[in-house]
Amino acid sequence: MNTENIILLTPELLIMTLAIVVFSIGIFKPSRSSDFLGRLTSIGVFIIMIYTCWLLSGKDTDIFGEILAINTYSTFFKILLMAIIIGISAISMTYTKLYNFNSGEYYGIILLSLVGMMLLVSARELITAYISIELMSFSLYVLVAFAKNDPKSNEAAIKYILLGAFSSGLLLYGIVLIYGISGTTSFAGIENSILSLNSNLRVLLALSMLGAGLGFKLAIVPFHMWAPDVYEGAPLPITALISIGSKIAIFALALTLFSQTFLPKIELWKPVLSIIAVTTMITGNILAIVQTNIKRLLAYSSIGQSGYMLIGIVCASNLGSTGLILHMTGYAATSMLMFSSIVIIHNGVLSDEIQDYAGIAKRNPLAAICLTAALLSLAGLPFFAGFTTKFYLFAAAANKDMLWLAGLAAAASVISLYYYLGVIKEMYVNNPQASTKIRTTKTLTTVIVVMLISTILIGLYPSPFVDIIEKSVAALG
Amino acid sequence: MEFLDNNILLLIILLPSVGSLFLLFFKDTDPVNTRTFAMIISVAGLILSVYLFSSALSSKELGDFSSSITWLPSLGIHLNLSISGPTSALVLLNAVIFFASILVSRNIEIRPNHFFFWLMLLVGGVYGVFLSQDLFFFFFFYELAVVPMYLLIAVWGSSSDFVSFIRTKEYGAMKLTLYLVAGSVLVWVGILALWAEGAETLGAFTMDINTLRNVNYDRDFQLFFFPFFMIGFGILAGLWPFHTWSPDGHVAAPTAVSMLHAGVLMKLGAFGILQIGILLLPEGAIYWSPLFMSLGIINVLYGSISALAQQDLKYVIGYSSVSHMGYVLLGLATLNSTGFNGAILQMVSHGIMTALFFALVGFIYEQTHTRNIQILEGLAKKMPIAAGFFTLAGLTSLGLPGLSGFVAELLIFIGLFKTSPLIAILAIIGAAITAVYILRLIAKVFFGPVNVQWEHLRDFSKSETLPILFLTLFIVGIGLFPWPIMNVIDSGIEQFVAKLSGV
Repeated sequence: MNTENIILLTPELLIMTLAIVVFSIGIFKPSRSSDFLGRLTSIGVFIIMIYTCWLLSGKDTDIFGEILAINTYSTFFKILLMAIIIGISAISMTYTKLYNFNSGEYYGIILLSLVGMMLLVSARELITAYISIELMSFSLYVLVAFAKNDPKSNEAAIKYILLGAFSSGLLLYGIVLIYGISGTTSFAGIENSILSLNSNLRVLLALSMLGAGLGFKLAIVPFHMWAPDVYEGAPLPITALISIGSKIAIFALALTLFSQTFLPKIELWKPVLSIIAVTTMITGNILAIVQTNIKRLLAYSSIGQSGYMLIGIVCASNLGSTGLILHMTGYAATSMLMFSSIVIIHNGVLSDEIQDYAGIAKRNPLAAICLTAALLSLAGLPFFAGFTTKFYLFAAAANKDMLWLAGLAAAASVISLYYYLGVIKEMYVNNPQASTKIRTTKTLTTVIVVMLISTILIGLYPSPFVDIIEKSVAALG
Repeated sequence: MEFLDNNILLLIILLPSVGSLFLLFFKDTDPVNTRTFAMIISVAGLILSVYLFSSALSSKELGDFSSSITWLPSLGIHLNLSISGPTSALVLLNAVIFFASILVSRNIEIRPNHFFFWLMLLVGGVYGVFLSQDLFFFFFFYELAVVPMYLLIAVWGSSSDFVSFIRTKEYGAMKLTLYLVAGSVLVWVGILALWAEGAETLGAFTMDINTLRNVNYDRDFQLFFFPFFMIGFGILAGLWPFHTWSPDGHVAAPTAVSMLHAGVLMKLGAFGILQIGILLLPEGAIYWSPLFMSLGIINVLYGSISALAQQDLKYVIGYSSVSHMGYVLLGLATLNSTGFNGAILQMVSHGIMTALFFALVGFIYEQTHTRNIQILEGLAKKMPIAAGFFTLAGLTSLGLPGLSGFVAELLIFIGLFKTSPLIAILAIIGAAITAVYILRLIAKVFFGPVNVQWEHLRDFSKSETLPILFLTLFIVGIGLFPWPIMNVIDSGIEQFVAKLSGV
C-alpha cells in the first residue's frame, strides 16, 4: 500500500531531489556558471513534467489516507505549475548573471516553492494545505529578498514576511475554528459535518478567517496592500513567480474548498465573495492607472485579474470552474509572455520605469510586439487567450444569473485597456532614448516565441484545453 | 469549384487576417514589397467578393456558400458563416475600400510592414462581422476590427494643430479606442444575456443567430436589452451623443485608416443593430424606435451643423460622416423594408463617398501640410482633377440625382414618410444644411482667389488617379443603375421585416 503511495508522490520527490542537487552544485562547485544551473533546473523540471504526464494520466485515487488526491484536477495543475517554473527558470538566467545572484540557492529555492505548490493543489486536508502554503510562502520570502544590495528588495521582503506571517496566523485560526465545528480537517469530512449544521455564525466566523488568510496570499482587496511593494522590490522573475505560480496554486485550493467543501453554505459566502470580486477588479484597475513603474502597474493589474478569477468561484457551477481554470491557463501563458518580454527589455534599459520603455519597438521589435500581445490579451481583446477565456468565464456568470457581475468585469477591462495602451504607446509612438539595439539570448527568444504561440493558440483553438479542463473539473466534483 | 464555394467565406476572412502574419517577416525598410503583398491580398479579396456579389445578382442560392465549423461545443459556439443579399453588398464595399486604401498608401515611411499588418487584421475583422452567423464570432471579429485602430492612429496618424485647438493623434487614438471598447462591453453583456436566456428556453447552449431567432424572448427582457445593442453598436455607428470619438479619431488617422474606418468600420455598428438588435429583439426595437429615430435625426442635424463650423478640412468630412450615419440610423429606425433597404444602400454609398473624400483630403494634406480651411484657397487652379473629384463627392454627399447618395437617401425618406412624416421633413432639412456646408467648402477651398503660397502644388499623377477613379465608378454606377444592387439588397431584407410584423 505504501509503495503505491510513494510512487504516486514521485514527481514531488524528484523535484525535491533536483532542488538538493542544485543546492549542492551551488555549494561545492561555485565555479559552475549560473547558466548551467538554470539549464539544469528547466531541463530537469521538463523531464519530470513528462514523467508526471506519463505516471499520473488517468489516475484517480487518494493517497496517504485521503491527505492528498491524485486525480485529473491536481495533475492538470501540477503540470501547469511545472511548465510555469520551466519558463521562470529560463528567463532567470540572464537576470541572475546581471545581478550576481547565488544561483545554487536561487534555483534550489524556486524548486522548493514548486514542491509547495504541487502539494497544495492535491491537498485534501486543511493541515496539509497549510503546510504546503507555508513551504511555498517561505521560499517566496527568501526569493523576494534575493537582491541583497537593493534596499527596495529588502523592504519588500520584510513587508512580505510580516504580512505573510499575519495572514498565515489568520489562516491557521480559521482552520482551528473549522476543526472545532466539524472535528475533522479533511475536506470531505468538513463537507459532511457542515451540511447538517444549523448554526451559521460559527461557520461564518471560520470562513471569514480562512478567506482573509487566503485573500492575503492572493492579494485581493482589501488584503492587497503588500502586493505593489513586493512586486516592485522583488527580482523580476520572482515577481512573475508570485503573480503567476502562487496565485494559480492558491486559486486551485480555493476552488476545491468553495466549489466542494463549503458548497452547502453557499448562501453565506456567495454575496460576500461577489462584492469582493467587484471591488477587487475595480480597485486594482483604477489604481493601476496612475502607476509609473511597470512592476507596480502589473501588481495592480494582477490584483484586478484576481477579481475576474473570483467570478469563477462565485459561479459555483461546472461551467464556472471550467471557466476559471481556462482563464488561469490563459493567464499563465499571457503573463509568462509579458514577464519574459519585460525581462528582455530590463536587460537592455536596466530600469522598470515605464518612461524608459520609450521607443522599444525600434530597439527590439520582437519584445515590443510580444509585450503588446500580452497586454492586449490581458485586456481581453481577441486573437489572444484573454478574449476567449474571459468570454468563457463571463458566460458562466451569465448562466448563473450574474450578468451584472460579468458586466462590471467587462467594464473593468475597459479601464485596464487604458493603462495598457499607455505602455504600448510608450513603446511604439515615443522616440527611443538610445538607438542601440537590445540584444537577447536564444533562451529568452525561445521562451517568448513559445509563449506567444500558446497565448494565440488558447485564444483561437481552445477546445482541446477545454476538454482536458472539463475532465479535471469532473474529477473535482 | 464546389470546394471553393463551400469555403469561400472562410477564405475571404482568412486571406487578410492570416495573410497579415506573413507581413511580420518582411523587412522594416521595404515599403515596396510589403505594399505589393498587401495589394495582392486585397485584389484576391476583391475578386472573391465580386464573385459573391455576382452570384447574389444572378439570384443563385446563397445558402450554398454557408459553412459551419464546430469550435467550442461546451458553450454552443460554432464558426457559422453565411451570406445574404445585404451582406454580399457590404462585403463588396469592404473589398473595394480596402483595395482603394492600399492604392493610396504610397508613402508609409515608418515600419510599413507593421502598418499593413494592422490594416489587414482590421479588414479581416470587418469581413468576419459581416459573414458570421454566430454571436461569439460576430463579437470576436467586431473586437478584432477595433484592436488595430489604436496603433494605426497613434503611430502613423497626424495631429491637428491650431492656435486655439490642439488635438494630438494620441488623444484621438485613445478616445476612439476607449469609446469603441466601452460600446463593445454593452454588446458583450447583451450577447451573454441573449445566450443565457436562449439556453433556458432551448435547454441547450447555442450562440447560433439562426437558432436564437426562433426563441421568443420575453417582452420585458427585450425592452431591457435592446438599448444595450442600440447604444453599444450605436457608439461605433456614431450615434449622438456618443459620436465625439468619430471626428477626433478620423482626423488623427492616416488616410488609408480614415477611409476604412469611416468607410466600413462605422457600418459595422449599424449592421450590428440590424443583425442582432432588430432581428433577435423585435419587440424591443418597436418599443425603442421613437427614441432611436429621435437620436438619428439629431445625428443628421447636429452633424451637419457642426460641420458648418469646422476650421479643419478633415473635421468637416468627419462631422459629415456623423451626419450621414444619422441617415443610416434613421433608415433602421423606420423598421420597414424600404427604410432597411435605404439604410444598407446608404452604408454602401456613404462608405464609398467618404473614402473618396478622405483620399482627396489626404492627397491635399500631403502636399500642403495643412488642413486649415482659412489658408487653403483656390486650389482648383493647381489641382483641377482633385477639385473635380471633390466636387463630385460633395454632390453625392448632398444627394444630387444620378449619384449614389440620392437613391439611398430617397429610399430612407420614403421609409420615414411611412412612419413619421415630421422626422422625414427634418431629415430633408438636414440634407439642405449638407448642401450649404459642402458648397461653401468647395467654393472656399477650390474656387476662391489663389493663395500665392500654393504655387508649387501639383495635381494627381495618372497612377494616383487610379484609386479615385475606381471609387467614383461605383458612385456614378450606383447612381445611374441602382437596380442591380437594390435587388441584391432587397433579396435579404425580408427576414428582418418578417419577425417585426409577427409581433
